[in-house]
Amino acid sequence: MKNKPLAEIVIFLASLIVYILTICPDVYVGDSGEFISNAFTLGYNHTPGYPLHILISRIAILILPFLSVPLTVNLVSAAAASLSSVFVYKILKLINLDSIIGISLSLMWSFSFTLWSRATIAEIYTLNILFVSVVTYFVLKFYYKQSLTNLYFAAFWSGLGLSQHINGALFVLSAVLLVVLVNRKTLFQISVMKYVIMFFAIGVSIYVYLIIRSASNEALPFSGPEKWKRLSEYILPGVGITKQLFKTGGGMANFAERALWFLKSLFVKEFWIFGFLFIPGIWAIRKEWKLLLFFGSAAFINSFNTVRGPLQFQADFDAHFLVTYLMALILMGFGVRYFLEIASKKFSKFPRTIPSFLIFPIVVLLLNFNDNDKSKNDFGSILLENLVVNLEQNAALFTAEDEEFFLTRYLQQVEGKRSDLTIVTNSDLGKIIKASGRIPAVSNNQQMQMLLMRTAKSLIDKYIKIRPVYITMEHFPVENIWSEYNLIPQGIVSRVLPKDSEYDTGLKDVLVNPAWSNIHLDARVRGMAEYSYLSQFLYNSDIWNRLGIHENVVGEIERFRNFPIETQDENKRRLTFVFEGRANLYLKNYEKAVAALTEAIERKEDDWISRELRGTAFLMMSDTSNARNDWQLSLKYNPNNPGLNEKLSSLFNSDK
Amino acid sequence: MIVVDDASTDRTQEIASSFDVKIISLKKRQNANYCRNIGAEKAEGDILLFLDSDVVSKKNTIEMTRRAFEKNHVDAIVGVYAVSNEYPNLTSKYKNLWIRFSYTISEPAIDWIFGAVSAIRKDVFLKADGFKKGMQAKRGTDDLELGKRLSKMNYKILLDTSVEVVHLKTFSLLSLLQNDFRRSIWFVSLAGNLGQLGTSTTKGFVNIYPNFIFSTVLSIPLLMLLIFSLVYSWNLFPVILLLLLFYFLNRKFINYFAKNYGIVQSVLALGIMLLDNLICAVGSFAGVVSLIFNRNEK
Repeated sequence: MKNKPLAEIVIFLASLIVYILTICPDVYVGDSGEFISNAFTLGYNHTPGYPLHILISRIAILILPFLSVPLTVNLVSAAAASLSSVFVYKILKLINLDSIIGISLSLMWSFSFTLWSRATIAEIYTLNILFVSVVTYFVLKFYYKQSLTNLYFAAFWSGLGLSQHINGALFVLSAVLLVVLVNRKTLFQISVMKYVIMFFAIGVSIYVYLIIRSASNEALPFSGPEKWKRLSEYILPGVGITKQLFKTGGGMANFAERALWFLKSLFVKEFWIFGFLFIPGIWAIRKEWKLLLFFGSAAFINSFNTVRGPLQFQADFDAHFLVTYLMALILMGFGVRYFLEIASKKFSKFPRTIPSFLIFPIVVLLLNFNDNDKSKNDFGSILLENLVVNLEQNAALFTAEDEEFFLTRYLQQVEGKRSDLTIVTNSDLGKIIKASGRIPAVSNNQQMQMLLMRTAKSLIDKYIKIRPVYITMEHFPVENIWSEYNLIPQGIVSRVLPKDSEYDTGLKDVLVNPAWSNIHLDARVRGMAEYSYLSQFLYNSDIWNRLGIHENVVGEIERFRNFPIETQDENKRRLTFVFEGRANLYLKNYEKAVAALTEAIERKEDDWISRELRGTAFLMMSDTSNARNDWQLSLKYNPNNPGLNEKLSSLFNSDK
Repeated sequence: MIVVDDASTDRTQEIASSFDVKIISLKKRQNANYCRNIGAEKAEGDILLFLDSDVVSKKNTIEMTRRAFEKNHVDAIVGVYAVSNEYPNLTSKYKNLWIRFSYTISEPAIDWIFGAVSAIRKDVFLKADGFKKGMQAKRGTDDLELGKRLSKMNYKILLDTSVEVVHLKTFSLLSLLQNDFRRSIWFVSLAGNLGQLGTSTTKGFVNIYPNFIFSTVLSIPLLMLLIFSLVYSWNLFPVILLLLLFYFLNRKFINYFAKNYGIVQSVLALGIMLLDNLICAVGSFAGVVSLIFNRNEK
């Protein structure tokens, strides 16, 4: 008889119970609205589609009809995260760690900050990390036992996991590397290889779902991968895969900034004081270089791919490192084993099982509990209400960001409310170009903007004559399109919440809208919200400015100036100076504008927006020399600014 | 000849006693393997010949068995099903001929016992403690398990295709699929417990040859693709390609079938085989799941 899986059950239940205690009961911000809607309607998600998440969530909705739909899909994440901890335990047992220590480390994984933060909302990251842990388990089993069964399991789960996330897909490269290093001869036998390919293909075939559903599903307004040839365009949209893998987004300065953030997270945020233990883990397996290469390459590919990408302002930046965190945790296991071996050699009575080790996951649990407690988080619902509450019947709402569009989709498709609204998103506009193949691929941003505008015009033609139109757009080419049609939108729907409550959050280093004191936020939303709130003034005033409605621009400026600024975060403080500079420029207080923008530039040398604005302020003060200097530097930091290029040329000529 | 009556409630005793046989009656119902072991203990000869209740020995079966033992220094002889034209339908022809085919292409030295027709030296059988009493004979893995055990004890088992019996069992399409679904679960469980699940893909497992295993796995994408292509009007080229691969993998059996029953029936048999493979694939998957949850027979 095999041993009863008691430890596995304990780990699964302990993790699940903690996740359930802190789970978000409703729709969350970000992509959650999309994942919940598509699970409910059997639609298809944004690239690469996440078909497996949809199917698993759909099954969960069917078997748990007594729970609300958002809670059920959130529970899928919790179950996946708990299961990943079970596989972490199995991995640790495989490397001969004692059960108690295995349980402790697995629960430390469960309660680590980032995994926990995604285990309580509808997201794909926990399912992705479950696949990574399952594949790691089978690949390590193949390393130790070289049984073909484990190889086939690894191939199947790798294929299935490929439908989850690009970081999971990249992890497969390391898994293949280890298998090749361990037993190349076996793998390359045709009789074995054909099974590996077959099982992998069976796993990947889950993508067929996308073709089937997009051929018959009208859930999204953009075309999808309804044909074989469009599938690859959909899964890997736009540029080629090599460009995607090796292109560094945002320049070297941002690259370094992200790399530092990552290192800090590894040592401080994730495993607190235990993080350093993965370093002795590396030392412990220095002679098992194949294993070292496996863990090292998996962690490096994952972290490099995330650090190099243009993701630093995205809310999910941290979750992209989960594969690295997992590899670090397993290495910690090797480190602990190493210490115990040394200790038991030196001290004959040193115990190999240390029950007090269980204190560590409890410490991690307590440390991260408050920041991950979403049990009272109603931010998504309130944001959603705020987006649609004032819209007239049959209005068309032009949205920009995921939390706008996905939330409104959730409202219409899952809750069946406000189906009179037509929701348009600029993400969709991009998808028409990329996915349908009707318009040739674009080579630069300018072409992309033109194509977006062309599509936007057709949408405006379709909607604006019959419906009141609202916008929440941030990057929509307002000036060109709306002014060309000589139309003014009915209103700008603000994501900023109404100021109707007292200001008392007790938070020190956070810029907080007074209205948010009665809304329950976890740490992740707090970070997103303060950035979002601040930037909203910029965008709103910009839109009103472009539409030429002076009193509204002044109104936005007043709202901004009444806003309490408490943050010590340099980046957020810089934004306030950018806005102040912009406002003064608009109000023709050029000297004040220069002063504010100088403060912004001192905080970020390559802030091309502030440089452009300050150049304009200098020009208005007839200081052409400084104006030219600022504009040249702005162009240096952001060469893709044809308007400024033209202005600079004309300034240069007149200067001559 | 010995008849072990497993506390039956029908006319077994009455019918058996009308022949010249030794009857052993059990007071409490046990199972087939228990009865076989009891019968073997009471047997007086040196060679034990086990036949299933649904097979009929040919006139020369016993003689051929005796000769096989004389010619070869082996501890057990395994026979095969004979080709028969008596089957009422294509499904029965397919199943019985496939079993025969799978044996005829095996190497003569094997490491399993075929319960339908096998002869074992009595002393060897007793040393190995006979069939496992805990295993259910109806699962069809108890004989395989005994063979694996004998082989581990370095006893030699020989497959002799001249030892033939006629299998009387007939199958409808439904009963074939039910039978093969269950057998797939049990075979996978046994292979898993013996640690031969992975190697079965390269070396085969008992009489299930590697190409059959591969075509079983292949049948899943093939059938899925076929259904989707028909429903969603996709290009049929990938389906045709996979069908050709499926035929290629099973070409030896289909040709063998055509030789015995004609080309037309062999084409139909390919269709049955595809369905059968799919069911085996689903059963194998269930077997893997049962292995994981440790509900397999030990």
